Amino acid sequence: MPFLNPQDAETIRRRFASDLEAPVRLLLFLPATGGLALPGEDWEIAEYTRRILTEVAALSDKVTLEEYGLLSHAAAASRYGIEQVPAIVFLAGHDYGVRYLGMPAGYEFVTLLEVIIAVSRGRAELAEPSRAALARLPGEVHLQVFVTPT
Amino acid sequence: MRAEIVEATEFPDLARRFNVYAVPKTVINGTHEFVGALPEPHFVAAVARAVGGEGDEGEVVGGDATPGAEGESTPLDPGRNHE
Repeated sequence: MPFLNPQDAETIRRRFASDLEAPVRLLLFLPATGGLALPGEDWEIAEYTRRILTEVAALSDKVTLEEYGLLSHAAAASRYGIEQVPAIVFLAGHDYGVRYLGMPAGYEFVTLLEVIIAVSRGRAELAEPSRAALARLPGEVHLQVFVTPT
Repeated sequence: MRAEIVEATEFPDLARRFNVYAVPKTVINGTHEFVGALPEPHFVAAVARAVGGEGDEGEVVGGDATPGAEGESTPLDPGRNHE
C-alpha cells in the first residue's frame, strides 16, 4: 500500500511544481545489505524511509533519490558526515549541511517537504536581522533538533 | 553550519547523550540547548550565545518576547531514554 494517498500525492505534486527551483538530490544512507544487521540498525525503519522518499521523488522531475550503503559507500558517508542510518542528505548543487536522521513520517513528513523546497530555492524563510546576526557568527554551528513523528 | 533533524525515538543513544525528555529539543554545538519552539530572534540569540562562548549573552534582534522563555514542547513517552 502506498504511503501517500492520491489526494495528498496530487497536493504535493502541485506544491513541488510551483515552489521547486533547482533540482534536489536526496541521498539516502541505508544499513548494510546482505543480511548483515549491525547493532542499533533498524531495517524496518530504513525500508519505510526508502518507500516514503521513493514516492516523494516520483512527484517531481526535480527530485531524485539515490541510495547508498553506510558500509558499501563508506567514502560518501564520510564526506557527508553520516555515521548512523537511515540518514538523508539534501543537495541542490550546494550542500547546505541539512540532514535528516530517521524516518520522516507523521508531522515530520511536512518537515521533509519543507526542507526539500528550501534547499531547492537556496534560501530559508528567515528575517533579514536574523540573516545578518547569523552572518556575523565567528564560528561553526552544529544544530541538532530532536523530534518525534507525533 | 550543519543542521540535523533527529528522530529521537529511533536514535536513543543520541537522545540519551543529550537528555532528550521532550521534543522539540535543539542542541547547539553539543553544548547549548533549549526545549520547545523559540521565536526566531531568540533562536538566533541562542545560537549566538553558543558560538560566542560562555558569558556572552548574545543579541536578540527584532523580538520582544521574554528572553529565555521556552516554547511549547511535548514530553517523550515516560520510560524512554531514562537510564
